[in-house]
Amino acid sequence: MAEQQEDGYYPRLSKTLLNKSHANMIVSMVGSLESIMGESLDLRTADGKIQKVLVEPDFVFQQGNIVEIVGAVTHDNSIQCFVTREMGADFDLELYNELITKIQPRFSEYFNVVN
Amino acid sequence: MMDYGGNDGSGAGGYGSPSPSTPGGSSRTRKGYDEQNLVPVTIRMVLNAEMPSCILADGREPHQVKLVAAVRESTPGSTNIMYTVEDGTGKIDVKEWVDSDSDNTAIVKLRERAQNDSTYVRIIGKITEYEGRKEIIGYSVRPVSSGNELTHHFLEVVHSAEKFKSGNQIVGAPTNYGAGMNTSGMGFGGNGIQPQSVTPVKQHGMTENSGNDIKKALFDYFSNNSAPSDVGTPLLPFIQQTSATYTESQIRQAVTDMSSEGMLYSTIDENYYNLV
Repeated sequence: MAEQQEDGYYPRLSKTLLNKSHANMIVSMVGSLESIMGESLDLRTADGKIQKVLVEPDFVFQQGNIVEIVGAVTHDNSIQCFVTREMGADFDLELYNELITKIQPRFSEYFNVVN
Repeated sequence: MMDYGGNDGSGAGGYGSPSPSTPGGSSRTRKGYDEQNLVPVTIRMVLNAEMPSCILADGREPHQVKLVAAVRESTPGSTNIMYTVEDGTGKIDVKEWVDSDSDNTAIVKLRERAQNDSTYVRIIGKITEYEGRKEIIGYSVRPVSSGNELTHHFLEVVHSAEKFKSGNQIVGAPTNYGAGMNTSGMGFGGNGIQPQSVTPVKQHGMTENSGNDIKKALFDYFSNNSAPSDVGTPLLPFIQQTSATYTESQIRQAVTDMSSEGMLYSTIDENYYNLV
């Protein structure tokens, strides 16, 4: 996408939904914290798949915590994390997956910037 | 000033007899209570709204809006707090007026939580324009009770907007979306969307209005054709007589409803009934 991404606008994705068109964009992924190795975090996104996320050294990792990660897509399709938001342990990932895969694409006029 | 209207965007408005709020006859008149609606929106919808009349892209005119978004910045002032919030569809400023003397400690605590960056908050407020930029005057800015409020809010945004759309297409029955769901063909429950994920629209969609017609017809039929109480009145003739108007399954559903409501009881078998 050549246009400058509007501030505050980022697509809500899962690993399945992330594709080439999101290169260099800021995106959001909600998932559960699976494992961490140094600065590389494995996030299990709403579709059950694992997404690699690069985090700061001071990232507080708690296994099973459900968070939203907002960050930039890097050249190797991992996400450089800017913001982490707590979504709570009772967050319904399955329902969220339905939202982003079925509802948002179908009713995009309420969610997306109309180009 | 917590006036959350009962409607969610139908804007059908009852009597709507606004009276001018200032003697000088200003152009902004106070809406009647029936017109004071609360519409769930995304920031994208707010940014696309036409001002100063405050009309959304789909034609709705919210009196107040509900948003769920994450706090990016918060700047406390002496009489207010300015938030910048984003929800993935856009970014907007929210101004919440604060009277710190009169607020109790519970509210103060909630407000402190809301000001943490990267907390999701639920905002009830009014869309305004300030120096060409849209802003929300936040009457209520509170942290969400669960992350699921975010998902729920987005679903509610879509649900309320689509209901408004299909409500507009029905002629003659604007207050009864039950009948509307059946005849408009845009039924929300039937398009690959899990009914369990959304509020149980499907149940409401089950012939609420036509159900009452059948029940009245059944009641009249059983009253006029009463038989000895141990035999009961046969149902099959009614099904045959009204085959052009009602299907058998609609009739049987109505009979089941009336039985559970205590109006009918079956006698010999499920084809013979008596009124209570």
